[in-house]
Amino acid sequence: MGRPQKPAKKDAVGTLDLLIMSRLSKGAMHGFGIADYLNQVSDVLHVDEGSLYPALHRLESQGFIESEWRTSDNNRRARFYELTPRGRKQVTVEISNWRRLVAAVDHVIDPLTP
Amino acid sequence: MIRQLWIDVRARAAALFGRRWLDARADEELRFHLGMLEQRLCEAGLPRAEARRLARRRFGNVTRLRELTLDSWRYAVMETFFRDLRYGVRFLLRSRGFSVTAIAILAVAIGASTAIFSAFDALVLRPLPYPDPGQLVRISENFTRFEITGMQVSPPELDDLRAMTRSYSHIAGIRQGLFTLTVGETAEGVSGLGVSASIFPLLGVTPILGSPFRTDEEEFGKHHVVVLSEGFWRRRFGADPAIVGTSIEINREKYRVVAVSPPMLGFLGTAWDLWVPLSFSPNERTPASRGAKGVEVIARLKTGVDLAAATRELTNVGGRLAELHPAMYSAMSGFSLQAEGLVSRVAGNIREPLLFLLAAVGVLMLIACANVANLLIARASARRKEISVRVALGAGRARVVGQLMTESLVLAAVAGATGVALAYALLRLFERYGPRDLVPVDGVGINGWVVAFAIGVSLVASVLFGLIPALTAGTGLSHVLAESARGGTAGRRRFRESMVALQVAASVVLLICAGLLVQSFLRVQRADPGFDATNVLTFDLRLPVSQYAEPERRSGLYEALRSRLRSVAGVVAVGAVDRIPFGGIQGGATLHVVGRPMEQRGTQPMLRPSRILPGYFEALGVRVLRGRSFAASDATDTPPVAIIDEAAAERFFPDGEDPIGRQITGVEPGLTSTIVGVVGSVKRRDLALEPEMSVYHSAAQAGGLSMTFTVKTATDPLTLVPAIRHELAQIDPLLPLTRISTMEQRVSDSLARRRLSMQLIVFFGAAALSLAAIGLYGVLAYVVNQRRREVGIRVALGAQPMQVVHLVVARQGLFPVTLGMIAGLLASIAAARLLTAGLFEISPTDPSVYAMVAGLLVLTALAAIAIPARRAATLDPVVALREE
Repeated sequence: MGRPQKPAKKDAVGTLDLLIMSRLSKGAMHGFGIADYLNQVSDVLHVDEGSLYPALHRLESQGFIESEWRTSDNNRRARFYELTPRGRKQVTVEISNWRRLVAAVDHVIDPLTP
Repeated sequence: MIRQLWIDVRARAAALFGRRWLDARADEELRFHLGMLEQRLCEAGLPRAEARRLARRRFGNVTRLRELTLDSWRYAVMETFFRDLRYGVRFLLRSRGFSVTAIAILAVAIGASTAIFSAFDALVLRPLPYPDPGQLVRISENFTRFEITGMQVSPPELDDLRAMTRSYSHIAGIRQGLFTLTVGETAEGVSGLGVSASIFPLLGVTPILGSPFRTDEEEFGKHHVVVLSEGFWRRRFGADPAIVGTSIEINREKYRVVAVSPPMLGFLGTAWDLWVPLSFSPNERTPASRGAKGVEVIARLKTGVDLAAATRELTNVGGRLAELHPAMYSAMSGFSLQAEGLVSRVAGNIREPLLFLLAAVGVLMLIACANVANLLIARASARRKEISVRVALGAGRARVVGQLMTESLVLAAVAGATGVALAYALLRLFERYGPRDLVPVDGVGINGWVVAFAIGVSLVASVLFGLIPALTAGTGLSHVLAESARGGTAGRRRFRESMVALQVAASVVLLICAGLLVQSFLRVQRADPGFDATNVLTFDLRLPVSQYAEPERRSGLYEALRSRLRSVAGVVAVGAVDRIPFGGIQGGATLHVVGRPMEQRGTQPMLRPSRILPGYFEALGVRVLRGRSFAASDATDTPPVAIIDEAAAERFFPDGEDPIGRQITGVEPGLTSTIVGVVGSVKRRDLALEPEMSVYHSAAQAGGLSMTFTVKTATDPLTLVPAIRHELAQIDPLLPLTRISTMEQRVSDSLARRRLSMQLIVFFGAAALSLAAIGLYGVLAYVVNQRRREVGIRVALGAQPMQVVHLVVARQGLFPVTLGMIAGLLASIAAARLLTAGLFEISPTDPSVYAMVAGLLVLTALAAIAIPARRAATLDPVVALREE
């Protein structure tokens, strides 16, 4: 039709998903805990901590993670997220994809680096 | 896993329909997060208010994030669909004129096809409302040398079938009889059957009151028990439950009511009032009575036994019968027993006409779809601006097509619902005013299958009429702006024109079928039955055997009634016959001329035998060609006399041999009679068939218990009924007059099915023609409207009205009409060939019918073209040019 293809959604959102899932692969955690972790390891959430939640709910609706109410360390009710078996598989796929992407980008930009 | 699934479904359902549950969850999560942030900032030494402000800033826009969170649960496709649905409904409400037209056209087509399908469903697909109808069979006999197939059996043969077969769990005999119910001094004819007790378990029918009669009550003498039908019980006895156990008087004998049953055996022709045990008198079980057929046999195959196995067994049984009674079933006669599935037998008769009607409504449906497609495509053109805005705002082609499809789906859904309601109304109307005996409408109604059919038709229709305009609307969207400057693309115009051509072609096919059927009907109606049916009253008289056992008593009563009726003012002639033409079962016999070598059995033809009273030929206007008619002098104590008809005379006395005075045998066992006359041949069952050979004997010499009287009158025959009733009461007050009718009515009834299918197809043809006219008008009106500017310029530059008409209307109107007509005429030649069986004295390619339909179509097309043509011709260029 000659209409431009919509850009593939492989930007920061994808990265965020990957980071969330890699945190959850270490064990169940609530949203605040995940945000904490992400803030420690990188600055993806520099803008809005709340943007974590749409991502969490989307991953849950896709069946990669599941959630339930539990009591947090300081005795407050919190929603804890956990990887499903499908999510576990997805993490490995995503990670290897990521590695390949990084390697490819490296390969392209290497000759250009002074 | 299950839990996960449950959460998922609940969350999605909540996102789609009610968001409270998901809202609460998201709220609590976000609150927890904010609380934790705030707490941590406090711990870091910030004042509480400052901590809260900072936490909110770090968290982001809570409302928006909450929306985004909830959004992640939605099914995008469903959401879009529901949005389109809302748009669709809104669009239909906005353009009411269009919606009403389209819905009306579709609803009529869906209603008509649903009504026909409900009849098809009840009468063909599920004709027997009994458990496991596939196991039900009818057993009958063939005498192939006499061209007799599917003949009923005789009482001894029913006994043989029961004793000699093992394929059936139940075998039941059924015999029709005349029943007179007497309450106090009033007698009334009712419809009833003698049935074997096994009919109840055979059909799986359980009485609603009491219990059915037992096998031992079939024994002659113990048979005075009766089961009433539910309808009769409600109508005649006010649904009195105390009726069971009491006695009622039938045919002057007391019968004990043992049960009230739901309707059953309706497929044998009518809704029966009552059932009595089928019992055979000792006379009926003698070897000679093997030839006295008249027992209908229905059986239920044992589970696991199929029709083929049952047929093999019957072939063996038939062989054994032929060995046991060689005189009765000689090898020459081509005797065999057969079993046929009851479902196909009952449905078979009506299957063909209904299939034809289904095809006709299918064509009507096609026209309706083409029509609405054209309306939609015109709409789509008018909405080009709206669509181009949508496209400019980023709607993909799939979205635009999807939206247009959803609109047509909404249209079809509304039309489908209206159509089902319409079908329901049509069926109720037919039930009230339609010919009752012709189509057993009892089982016909709107059920799950019928509704499923209507939904299916609506869906298919919406795809048919929605997809094409949607696709044409979807193409060339980039040219939308360029295109709107001119009056539509060539592709779209060609599509509109081919839709018009399709409608015209389909209407031509329907109209030609209708024309052929109308012509056939008129010819059949005019066909000479061989008698004069005008002003002939007929009624049945059934004598109770208890009072009229001796032949002399019967002929005494007949003669007394005849002479009394002749003296009634307005009566021209009085006769009577045991088997009246167009009165159901006609019987069959053979004939042998005494003194000739016995004709080979295989070549003997069949004749229709009747016994008549003097005056019968006069009453019916049948000409006596040679010799004489029966006279009062032919009595029980004079030698038996016979009359044959012209056809029989030609067959048995060829080459001018004189039949008068010759003796014949073979009509009835032990009867030898002398031919005294030859009369004209009459048709007995179907005006479209050639007359069958007839042989008449005198009822005054040996009359049966039931006769149909024929009274020729000078005026309207029905006005004489009270006088006739009065005369009969003078002789025997307890005898009822039953089945009062006229000869004209009987002949007309025989045409009922032909008439009904003709009327229906004429209705469909007319509907198709008006739809095609509306379609043609719509397209041309649209074209004229689109080309106003161009026409305005031409007129301003000096074009003459006729030139404008020619340019705008004639080409776009007449071209598709001509094309459609040619295609329709060619298709009709093929379609009418399928009709051949239903046609009478007319060829399926009768030129006058084709010419008439073509003429009618041209006139209709011209009428449809006239209004837009006039509008184009009288267009004011000033107004037209100023508009844009």
